[in-house]
Amino acid sequence: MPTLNRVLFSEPVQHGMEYASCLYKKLAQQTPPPVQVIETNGVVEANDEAMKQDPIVFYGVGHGNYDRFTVECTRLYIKVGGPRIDWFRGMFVHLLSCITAQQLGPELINQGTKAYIGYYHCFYYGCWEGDQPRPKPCDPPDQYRDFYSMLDSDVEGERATLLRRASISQAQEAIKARFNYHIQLYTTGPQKDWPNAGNALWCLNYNLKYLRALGDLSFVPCPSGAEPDFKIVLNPSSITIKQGQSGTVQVKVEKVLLR
Amino acid sequence: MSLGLVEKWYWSLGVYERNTPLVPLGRTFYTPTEVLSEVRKDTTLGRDLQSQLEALRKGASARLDPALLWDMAKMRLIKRLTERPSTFISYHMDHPILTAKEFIQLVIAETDRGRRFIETEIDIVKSLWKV
Repeated sequence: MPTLNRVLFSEPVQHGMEYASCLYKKLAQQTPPPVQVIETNGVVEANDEAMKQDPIVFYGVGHGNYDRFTVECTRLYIKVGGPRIDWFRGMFVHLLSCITAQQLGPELINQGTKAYIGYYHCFYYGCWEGDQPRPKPCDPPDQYRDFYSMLDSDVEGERATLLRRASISQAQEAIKARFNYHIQLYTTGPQKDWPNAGNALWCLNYNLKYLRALGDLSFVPCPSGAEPDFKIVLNPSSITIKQGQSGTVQVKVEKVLLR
Repeated sequence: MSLGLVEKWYWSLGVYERNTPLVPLGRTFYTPTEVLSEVRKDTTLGRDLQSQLEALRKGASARLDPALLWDMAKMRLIKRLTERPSTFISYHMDHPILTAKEFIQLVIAETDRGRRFIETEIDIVKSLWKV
């Protein structure tokens, strides 16, 4: 039985997957209890071991195709008709991969997975002009290279899930909003005159077009996520009450940040 | 749509985009620079382009010949990838790397992938009309 608020991040570091894993690690570091993030190095055996802890979310990056998803060293992990296809019952499976929404995603739902997010065609995570060297993982985009905006958009779905108690539907909307944010930067924003702008803009639009969510979209995997729906900032920010002291403390609500 | 609005639209676009075909009229594709130039000169073509842009911004692309829009999107992709060749990388198992040359070949041949590439460019064109 999957445990709410317990999340598995599969973080391979080879074959270009280090770019996504770098963002996963940052999110894991930002996630406070009671949400628990189990991080693996994306190796088959490590993921299998972590699955024994009954996470509610499986978020993985890997090369994919219609009916399969691979992990570190492009080793097969989930396949239609394969041995793990029913391991994800009651879970939210988010695959940052290519084409898995065509067959694998629907089959996971058929096998009892609660919800799925993935892509119906290729997910282009980077583009670079000419002979530019590839950036380091987590490097922000520059004039000639972008290995960040597309991945950051997908990770936003998990930020919403882990930090903002989002449902699958809200996570999907968060991903779309983040794609549109990056699209705006390249369309009319400060990145519009970058040499690589047209091609980066194309990647963002392509990924956004083929984003898919399946299953129970009202499902909330981390209902105890970090941030409440609202935040009250108190002024003064700290109040000392001495032992034995009683009475009423008056505080002024200076700001209410609605999310 | 006033000259002021056309200018505002023009200046909101990136420099490269201003000089790339974006507004179809008849059988011809006009760049934003050409559109603005004709509108400023208040020529008959300028007035036609102005009303065409206004209609497109209002979402009237349905009245466009789809084949025309398709050809323009295709032309834009080939132009951009020839002038600004990029390499694309994906999480696809069989062909993660896509060079500009391969991209152009898929677009010209209109394979399944190539057709999806063109469809995405059409989406971009429609959004650029409305910025």
